[in-house]
Amino acid sequence: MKTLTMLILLLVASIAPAQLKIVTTATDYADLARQIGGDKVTVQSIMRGPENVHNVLAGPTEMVKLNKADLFVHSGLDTEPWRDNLVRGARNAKIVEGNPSWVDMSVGITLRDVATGATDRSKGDMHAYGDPHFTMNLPNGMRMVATLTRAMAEVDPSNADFYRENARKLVTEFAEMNKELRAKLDPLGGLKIVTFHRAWGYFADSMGLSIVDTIEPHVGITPSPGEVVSLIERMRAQGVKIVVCETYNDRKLAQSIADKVGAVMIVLPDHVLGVPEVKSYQQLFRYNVDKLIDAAKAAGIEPRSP
Amino acid sequence: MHARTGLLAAVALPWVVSAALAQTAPAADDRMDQFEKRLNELDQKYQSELKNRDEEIARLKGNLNQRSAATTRDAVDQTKQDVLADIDARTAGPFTMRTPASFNPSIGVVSNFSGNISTLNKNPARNRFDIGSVELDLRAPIAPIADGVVILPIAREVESDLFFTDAEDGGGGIDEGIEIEEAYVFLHDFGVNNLTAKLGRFHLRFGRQNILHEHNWPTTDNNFVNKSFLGEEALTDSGLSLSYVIPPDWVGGQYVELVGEVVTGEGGGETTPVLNNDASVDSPAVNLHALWNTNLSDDWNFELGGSFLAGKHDNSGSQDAFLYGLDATLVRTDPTGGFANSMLMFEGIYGNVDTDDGQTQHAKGFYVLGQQQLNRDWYVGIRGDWTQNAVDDSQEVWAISPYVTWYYFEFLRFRMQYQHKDGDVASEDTLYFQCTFTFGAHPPHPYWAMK
Repeated sequence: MKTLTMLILLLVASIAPAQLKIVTTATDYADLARQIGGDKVTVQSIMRGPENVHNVLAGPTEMVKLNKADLFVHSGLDTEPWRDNLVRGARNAKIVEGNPSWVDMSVGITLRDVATGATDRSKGDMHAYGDPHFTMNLPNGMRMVATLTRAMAEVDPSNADFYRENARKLVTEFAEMNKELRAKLDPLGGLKIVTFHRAWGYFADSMGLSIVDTIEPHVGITPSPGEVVSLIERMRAQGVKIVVCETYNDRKLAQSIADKVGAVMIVLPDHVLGVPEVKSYQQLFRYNVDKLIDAAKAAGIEPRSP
Repeated sequence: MHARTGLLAAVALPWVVSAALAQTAPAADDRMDQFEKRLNELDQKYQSELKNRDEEIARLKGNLNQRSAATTRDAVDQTKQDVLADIDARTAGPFTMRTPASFNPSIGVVSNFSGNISTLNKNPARNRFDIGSVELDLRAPIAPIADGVVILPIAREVESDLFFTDAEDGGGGIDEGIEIEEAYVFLHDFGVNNLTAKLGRFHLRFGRQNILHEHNWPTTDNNFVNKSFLGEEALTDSGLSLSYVIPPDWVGGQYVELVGEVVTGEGGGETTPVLNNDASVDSPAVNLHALWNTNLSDDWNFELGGSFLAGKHDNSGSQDAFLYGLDATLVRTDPTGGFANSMLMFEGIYGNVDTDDGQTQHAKGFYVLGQQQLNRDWYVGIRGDWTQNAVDDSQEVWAISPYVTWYYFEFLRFRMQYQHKDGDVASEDTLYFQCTFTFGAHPPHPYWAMK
């Protein structure tokens, strides 16, 4: 009898539709895939959340995740310099550029800071295609939902309608949320901030913030003492009262700069799971906006009446 | 008459002057009052204008903010409509092509400026500063199933003898020249799942560090056991390398890779201590390597590898050489997302090598390396070496080598390393300096290089 039960269970398991296996480079893509795919998908992210997306230590255990992936979701840009090693080691013929399983999330997104003129390292560890931190923007999030949904529907057509329905809800939610959060920040009238890494341009665009400067003088390069002094002078001249440090960057340096100009330093995640409280893409924006408003209050920045 | 007139004038003058003054003072006061009044009027006018202007600026700013917010709202709504239309379109999205089509390979140039200050003046490889090597790295896809890789180092260095003794004379000139360190076709998809191949000349997959190029080492010099058994920089050879990853489902989701290589057995020629047969096909060498990589927890990754090499030590093919290797690497990733990553690495080799004197050498050796990343740019580490001479097991050498590495950024690195070396060799204390600079395209580092 036991054997028969086991056989039936095995048969049921084999008949049950297989879940779409999705592997993503970043946690943001993973959360979007979960929200679109629900119980029809299994999702794994290579990045864990708090680390710098450019410096993930992706090794053979991550190759194992990719080995059986139906979809590989990534930025499509040079955000993840470790991606090529991973794909080479994964030995999964499906995840090659041009196949539907290769999901480039930058499709349809207008990139900021696209290099003009000579592209070389005199500008630091610059990104050849433009600012790759496009996930920090809800309208871009809508585009990403569309890109991901198309890929999921193509690879798993039996659940396409399910994915599309969830995607529509998400896009509508993101659009409403963008208006709501922008309305919360608008009274601060183009809040001036300094960030550590050049990771917040898209966020500032959608939320009406003004990024006055960055602590890194060039992308990926730690500032010299002279550059820090110069930054402090510029911050004083511009009246910047808020310093944003990403979860992975040097908080002590950011705090010391903030202290010298009487500003408030806050640590903000630029990816889902960057801090434990931020478990979803939506929470990422709500958390950051709330923290910025709190910081503005602590810095004595009065909201303007409409 | 004149006197009377003068007297009259003298009497009249003060009266005339005082009268004139009396008439002038009220006029000047009036003008001053008028002037003051005018100034006040102007001041009030300007203050009023400024106030009006400030109010106008504030009003315009308000409008601008509202308009900007409204524009953003409109843009968001437009994006929403576009995206909803995209979702319902049910057609595949376009693929982006951001770079112009090019059949040129990616070209990278890695240069090593290095030097050392040592107590051992007799050793010609010591107390030198020079460009040690410039490495030209060319790679490109050559077919849908294959990539091509060519690595051409241009060397300018004096060979450092690991077992240098005081008894030897200085000698040793600068080795200059270009060589083919690697040149292979990498077949990444030829129809067998999980199987890849290299055909050409390549670094043998023996142990951990042998696959690395000089600029990827965590230290300024190569570890002693690899130097003693494999070669000054690495053991390279020409042949076929097959690599198979056992389907993870068969082994509990683990990463298990098996590597089999058949090579000519020539190694790197004279510079290879053990495998220095000729390039003829009658006495090939075989190298086998297996590795297992697993996550011990969210933050700890462990890798264990085993290697076996069988070949010939001499040209005649009468001297057998067998090497057995074991390597282990433990990497801890900073759980906070910061850069405080740690690494502990071990490699050991045991050899049975027939030598010219008709004997078989049973040499062994190992190194242990620990490295801690302090922040994004700074790393400290220490390596301990002990090894016997692979072709003379009566001779041994050991060293302790602490080092510090600073990355200005990924493409410009500086390193200092102290080394105390001792054993059956000339004892020496050496301070190494290294500056590595890279330009052009460069493939990513292995994950445990922490960069």
